[in-house]
Amino acid sequence: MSIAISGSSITFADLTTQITAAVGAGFKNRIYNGDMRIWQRGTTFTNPTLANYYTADRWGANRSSDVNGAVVSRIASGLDGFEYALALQRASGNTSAESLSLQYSNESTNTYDLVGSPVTLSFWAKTGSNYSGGPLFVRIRSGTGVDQRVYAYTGLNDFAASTQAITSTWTRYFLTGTVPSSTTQLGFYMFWTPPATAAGADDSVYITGVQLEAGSSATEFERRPIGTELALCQRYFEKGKFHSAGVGSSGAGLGGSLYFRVEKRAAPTMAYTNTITAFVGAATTNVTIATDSVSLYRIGTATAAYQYQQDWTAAIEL
Amino acid sequence: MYKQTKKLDGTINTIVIRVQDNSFIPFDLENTDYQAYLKWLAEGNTPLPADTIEENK
Repeated sequence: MSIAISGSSITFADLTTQITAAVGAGFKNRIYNGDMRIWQRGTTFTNPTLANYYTADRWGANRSSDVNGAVVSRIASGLDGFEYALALQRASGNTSAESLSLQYSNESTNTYDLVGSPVTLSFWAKTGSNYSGGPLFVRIRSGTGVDQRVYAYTGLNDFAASTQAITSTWTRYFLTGTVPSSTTQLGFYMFWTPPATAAGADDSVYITGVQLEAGSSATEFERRPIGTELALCQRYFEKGKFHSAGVGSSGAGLGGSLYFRVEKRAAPTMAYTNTITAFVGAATTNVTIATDSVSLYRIGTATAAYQYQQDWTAAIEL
Repeated sequence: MYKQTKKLDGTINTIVIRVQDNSFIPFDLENTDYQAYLKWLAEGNTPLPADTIEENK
């Protein structure tokens, strides 16, 4: 059998049928965690700001002027094919009219091959039952700097923009544009603006299935294994536990190394919590912080069987 | 505010502590927290001195 074209599908000699373009097949989605399954930092964030920006993995959020009254949370989507969605909510009772935004900043190294090409953004969205805003303002944004956040791009250019009316029914929306020459960073920026009246209990926009791909039309949302999606996100943020135990002495450095599951894009900022200690000092000291590992120690306080354990986070977001 | 850190041999390390959240920031120009530290230094600020081993006991 030869290749057969019928209507909008192509059937190949092995009898497989393809209904969408092969452009970008395999890791075609430049958005990591587009289906909102990865939430390493928690699943509810109250009052995200530019200083406390990341919510679901890779997703930043804030309100204009960094005012309070925004909540970002994970919800069961109720949409066939998607376990979770992200809710961008104005807190119940809040009266601020400052806009609420959801943002995605693509690492520069994942941008260069798209320059001069058409790209298409697609996503599912719906409103909450007390939604007070108007349309969604959606942008595909380019910049000419390196690894900046999408709200602060050098040479910021919203080369594709839409004012999208949304409803309380899950609907897939689309936006296409051509990535300008000289682009070195690419991102997604979406916001909505409420009135200056008190928010109801579900003054929200829900979003999931966000995809940014090469080509001038949207193809089916790319399904990646959960472990693969987590690993993609862990290039920017990872958490784990560290434990060190042995026989130490007063004044000695007692510690070890921890190795990241995924190498980071650069040496990350480390933080430690939930510490339990015996016969070591209160302060962690880092010897080295590298893209793949960290060496750390504490000072022994006695000649004894020491131990300490602590949770850690490694953050190297844009 | 930031605080310097020392290695076990007593020399200053290429990691600073951000005091407000006690996080450790490596000297890597691609790290946005380090970029903020450099900006803070450029504004004329000076980090706190590192704790001694005795202070870390």
